[in-house]
Amino acid sequence: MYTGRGDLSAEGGPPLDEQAVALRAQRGDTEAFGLLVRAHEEAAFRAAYLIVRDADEAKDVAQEAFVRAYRSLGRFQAGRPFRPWLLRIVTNQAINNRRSAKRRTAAGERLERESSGITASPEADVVAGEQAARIWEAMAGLSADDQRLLYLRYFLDASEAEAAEAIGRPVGTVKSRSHRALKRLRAIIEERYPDLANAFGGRLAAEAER
Amino acid sequence: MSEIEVERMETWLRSAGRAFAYPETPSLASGVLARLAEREAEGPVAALRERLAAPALRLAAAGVAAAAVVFTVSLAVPQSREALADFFGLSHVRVEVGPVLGPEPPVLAPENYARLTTLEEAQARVDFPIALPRDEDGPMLPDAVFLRDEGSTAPAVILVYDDEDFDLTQSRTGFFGKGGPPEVFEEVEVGGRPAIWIEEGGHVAWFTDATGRLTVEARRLVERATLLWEGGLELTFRLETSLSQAEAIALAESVR
Repeated sequence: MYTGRGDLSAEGGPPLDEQAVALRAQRGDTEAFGLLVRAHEEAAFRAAYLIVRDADEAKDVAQEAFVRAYRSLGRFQAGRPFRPWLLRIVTNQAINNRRSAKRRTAAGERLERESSGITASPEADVVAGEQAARIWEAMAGLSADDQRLLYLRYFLDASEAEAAEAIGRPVGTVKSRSHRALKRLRAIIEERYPDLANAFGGRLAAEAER
Repeated sequence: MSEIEVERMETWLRSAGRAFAYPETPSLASGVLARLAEREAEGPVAALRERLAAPALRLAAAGVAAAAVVFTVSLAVPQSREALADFFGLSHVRVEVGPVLGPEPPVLAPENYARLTTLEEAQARVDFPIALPRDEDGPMLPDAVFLRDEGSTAPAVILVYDDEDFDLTQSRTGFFGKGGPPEVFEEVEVGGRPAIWIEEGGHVAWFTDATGRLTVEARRLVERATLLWEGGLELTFRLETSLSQAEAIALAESVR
């Protein structure tokens, strides 16, 4: 299972202390920053992809976000985890890009192109994978802030504390906003995605039986 | 939704997240380092300059640059200019030429005088629509948003754009700046309205409250150039940046 927490090690060496590496990067050590990039590139790419919905654009967004992160390292507070801070920059960049893309490309064209290029991950069964893609499609109907929060919490496995750090809000706010976002997602699914509503309903029924 | 329904939906979404088929993650490090090297060679504000090269903004910048030549005024009298704002037509901005008394204040980052928040929360806390700068792709989202409100007599929203190297503050109250020599202050225009440009090199800035009194806790040294102007709804804008004057004005004119 993907956890999104990369290991920091130099060329197969022992794991490095992230704080120490971040400190070196803050002092302008680009090699140290390269280690941070390698450790978090998967989380960054996936966060970007969930929002922009295009692999090439997600790569561009993630790279640009790392550049911004490097230039903003002076603002990064020592002792805090790097990942949520990075995810804030990535998701901001991705939301900016998506707004631009909406002006250039119809969202439907993008979805169609993307869905043809995806292969299921080995651990995902086909039905679940298809359903996951449909849920992702339904989530596109939410606001950018709602999407960001739900992707962080449920697709990128961010804890409430990490999500709070990533969106710059207290944990209590993350809880209340998640609750509202879930409610809105459910309304979207019930209105526009009857197949998902049925699947979710069936799941509820199965759980109730257990 | 009941708590049980929320929990079940969370479980369902986590399951979907695990099953979701992401494209293979490409290697990013070499591309990132190449971009850093490229930007380093171009300079800190290259990215924004590139964005300002968009046709609409380029025209605006050219027009403003010409206007700036016409309207630039050297303040030849190094004396207290309390009425300067009226002269410039800015009701919530005052600048004063001359040395600052007392010890030089520190250069403060927004986190020293405002609270980190999100654009959404900041918008919910202020009674004016937060304006954003725009480029050819539309509104530019900030890298960080700070809100200066709780317990403050000078509420303000500060948008930080790290990569483009500018901070944009908007407030219903205002600002006071003091420094010299007088040539650092210029009268310019933003969208045909009076504005003040303060050259880089150091002036001291204060927030002012609704009555125009200076607030002491955020007194700070500003090293970057600063553009001050007023918009609708009695809003005052303050742009601190390393951009040139024409570029800063073009950026200011995109704010809405």
